[in-house]
Amino acid sequence: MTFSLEGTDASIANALRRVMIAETPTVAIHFVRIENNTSPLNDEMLSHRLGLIPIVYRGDVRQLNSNRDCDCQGNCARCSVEFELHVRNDGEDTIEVTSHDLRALSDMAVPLDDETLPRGILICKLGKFQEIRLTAIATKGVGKEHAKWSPVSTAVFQYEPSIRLNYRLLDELSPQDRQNFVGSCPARVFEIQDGRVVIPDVYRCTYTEECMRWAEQVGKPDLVTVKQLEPPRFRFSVETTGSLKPAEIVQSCLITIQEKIRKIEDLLVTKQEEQQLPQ
Amino acid sequence: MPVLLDGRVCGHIHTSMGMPLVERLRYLKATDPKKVPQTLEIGISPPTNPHALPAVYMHSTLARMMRPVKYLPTGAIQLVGSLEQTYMEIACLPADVNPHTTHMEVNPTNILSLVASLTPFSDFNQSPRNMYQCQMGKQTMAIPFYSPYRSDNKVYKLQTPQKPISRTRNQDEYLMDEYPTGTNAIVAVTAYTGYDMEDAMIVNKSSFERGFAHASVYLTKEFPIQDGSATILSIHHPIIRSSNHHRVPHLDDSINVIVKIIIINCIIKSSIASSNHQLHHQIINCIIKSSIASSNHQLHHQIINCIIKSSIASSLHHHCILLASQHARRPSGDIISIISINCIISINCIIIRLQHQFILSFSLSSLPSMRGGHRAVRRWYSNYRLDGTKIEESLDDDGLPKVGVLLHKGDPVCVIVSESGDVEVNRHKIAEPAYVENVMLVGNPSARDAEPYLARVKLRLNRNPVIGDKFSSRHGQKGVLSFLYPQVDMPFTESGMTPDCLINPHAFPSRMTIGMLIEAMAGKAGAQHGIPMDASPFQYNNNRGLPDYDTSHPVTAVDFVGEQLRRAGFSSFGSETLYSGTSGRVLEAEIFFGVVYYQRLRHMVSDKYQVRTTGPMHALTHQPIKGRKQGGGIRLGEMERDSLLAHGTSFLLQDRLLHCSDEHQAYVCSRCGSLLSVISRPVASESTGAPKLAHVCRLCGPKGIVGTVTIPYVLKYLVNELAGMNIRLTMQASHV
Ligand SMILES: [Zn+2]
Ligand SMILES: [Zn+2]
Repeated sequence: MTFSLEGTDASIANALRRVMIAETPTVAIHFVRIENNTSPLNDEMLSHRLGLIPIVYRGDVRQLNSNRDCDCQGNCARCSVEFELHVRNDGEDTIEVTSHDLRALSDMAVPLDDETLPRGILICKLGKFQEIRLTAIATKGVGKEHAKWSPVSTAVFQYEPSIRLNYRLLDELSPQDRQNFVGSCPARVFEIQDGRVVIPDVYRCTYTEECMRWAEQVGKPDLVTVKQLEPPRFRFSVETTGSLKPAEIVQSCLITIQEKIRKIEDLLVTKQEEQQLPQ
Repeated sequence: MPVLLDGRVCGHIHTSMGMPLVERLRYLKATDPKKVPQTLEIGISPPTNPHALPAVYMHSTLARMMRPVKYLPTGAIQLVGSLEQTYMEIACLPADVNPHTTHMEVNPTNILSLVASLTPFSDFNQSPRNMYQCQMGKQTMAIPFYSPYRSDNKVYKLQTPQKPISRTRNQDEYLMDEYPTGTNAIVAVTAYTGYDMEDAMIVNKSSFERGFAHASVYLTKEFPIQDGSATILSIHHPIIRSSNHHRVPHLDDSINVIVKIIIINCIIKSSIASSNHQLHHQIINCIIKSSIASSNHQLHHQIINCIIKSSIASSLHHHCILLASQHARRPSGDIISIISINCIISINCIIIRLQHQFILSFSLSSLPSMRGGHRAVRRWYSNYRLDGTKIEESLDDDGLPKVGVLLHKGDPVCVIVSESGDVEVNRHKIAEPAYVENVMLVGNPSARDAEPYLARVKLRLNRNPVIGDKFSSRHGQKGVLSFLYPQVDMPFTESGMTPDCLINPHAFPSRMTIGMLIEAMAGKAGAQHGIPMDASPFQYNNNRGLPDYDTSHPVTAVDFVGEQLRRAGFSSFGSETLYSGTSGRVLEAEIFFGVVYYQRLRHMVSDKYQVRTTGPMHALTHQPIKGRKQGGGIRLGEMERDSLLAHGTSFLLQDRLLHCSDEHQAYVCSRCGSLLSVISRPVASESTGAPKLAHVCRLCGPKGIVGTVTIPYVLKYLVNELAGMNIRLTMQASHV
């Protein structure tokens, strides 16, 4: 998902990015009880791989209790989702254990099932007579604590570049040189339409400054200037691991920021009250 | 000079003819394989060489190292052995060919060894760095083997390895992808926080959490069923094991056992030699009398052996065997009975006449002690005492742990129960918790009672990266993990990438590992295009800008890789604009950003850290002992002392060298100044009459004035040592 952000500066844009990566709560497998594991992977590695599988929670993740603060003993439905994995290879050929084999014990959550991954996410392979039997408990957490709870694969913003072409100097170039100028940009920002150099999408620019370097080489340093737009405008791209939809991530991120601001607000109010009390 | 074939001289040839002979043979080897086999090594050590005997050496045997080179006269590929090649002219490049050159390398990379040939772009590096990499390549945590049954003492295993993107041809040649040694890491070369100073390396915490450089150490602990250093040998041959044990004489007379044995041996030998039966009889009787009196096993063993030997020689079979069986009946020990039985049996084969007799004595005497097999006391692996009660709750019935459990320090690992009811519990001794990887019982299946004599427990220690662990690229650039930095705080690129690790640009100017920079660019291009990159040395033109620049030769590596980067939409120099993870603002400088294959080295802090507050002290000096294993301290040496003095921190110095070391309250007589003359003796207290200790000077008697001084305990030791050399050290002590 992409969206643009205007009327603010890098601090807000970066806050959004940081909260999306590190403070958006999701559900991921956190406890694994292994009953039998004769697979080639050892228990820690198997558990680690299970933890990294994106879990899609069907309810509102934010409403889920944190397992640590929940008043239950161990875990309960208010703070966790249980999964079961039992695969045994009785055949001759090696089989794959994937996220499809991970069975949720409640209908509140499922491991990621995406049409781009028809076979699921590979956990392990099993040889003849090898077996994995385990139960796993998924809990709520944030990416700050462990990367497995981070819902995004990329959350990044780009500064909108301001690319100024000097058309007077461009017109002085031979058509071949113009072609070379267009080719100088590795990100292919420039294109030639009807003999004129145009910029179809400024966001293609990655500030490599190869075009400026080219211009300097041919002795026309004023041919092109690449700067950040002033005041800045940002384009966000958010890709997800699958545990949340991109829009949900942004929504959740905004709520988290709101909560943080409210907390500061509350603190300020109490501080004010404290100061007024003695009078 | 001699001509040798497979180490045997097969003829001589005039020295001047040696070289022509060899040349002729090599020519025939290339042209006529029927006359001279392809695998024949034809070496000549010239008479000018002072270190080897001048000769023609030829080898045709199996299993010799040989390598292919081009034979210039015919252009064919010829196999060259390790001895002959030291005296051969093998050119590396066509330019190196001179009139004496006979051979040429098939590929210039053949001058490199296996480990050296695995360094990508090694021709761009300063040579000492390639040497360092050859050392470090052997210290990597990797996939060492695939057999789960091996029980090596200590094995390091990387759990999340990858094939390198930048690879040399030998990487495939030697199947190195089956045994990968590292991970392709996204590396940014920048001084970001200061945590990457002095070769430190910042690792992305999220990369670590996703499995970057996760590794384990496998330890195998052995628990033999017999105490001490029992081995297979000792169990199958208990005599060998016992032979060194009873050296202390426990004799009926004062002669040393060993001496006695020698004497007896001599007697026996001479008696065998003599044909006088009368004498023989006497000698043997004499020996037997003395041996019965002695209770020493070693002696018994020897004597019985002697008897047997002599009995075979003499006609006194009957007599001897009776004596031997008497010995066997003695209750002094199992070893003796085993030996006697062995003896009896060996004679049995010779003298069938006496069979009945000794079988009778055999069964009478030895059966009880034979029941335990060859062992003195039978022992076995079990979690139950003789009365059937369980010993360790956490262990299985066989006294061994369940596979997969986590063991902490002090947890039981192996229980051995003995016939006599003794229980031996072996515990997990290392401070680090460990998982049980597998449990093996070792026995001899061909033995009559195939009972295990050894239990092997393979443990798995989790060694995921922690601060202080060592990493290195393949260019002799090692560094220590200094910080697991949160992903959001790491700098990010335009496309949203965060690096796996950050290294400091100061690692490059002095070390000149340009190969690493090119590897970073090549790795980045390879990752973008989805192709492995050939990083074999000597394939690019490195002479651009030089007079002999050959334009027909392929382009330079930077141009080649730069073009690939450009096509992938990157700057052709591998640098990118990065944004600060904390503020979101652009970092002014372009930052070099690429993919470098990083190796985890097996030097880990968990094996090296040393901590001590108080702990074991040396008995003689009362100073802290040294050594990490014993919980000792780290020496504050003379140079450290100098620097503390120079800083003027004298209280700190006193704290280190006295209070935290061997501080001691010593008694000193201030009249004579001696630290040694003060003795304590019990006297009755004047007021209560209760006994108490009084300290008096033995030299001055009642005139002495005894007080205490605070000294390092070693001073007292020094004074003692000096006194031993007739040097008196006195203190001028006075009451303050
Ligand atoms: Zn709960
Ligand atoms: Zn005195």
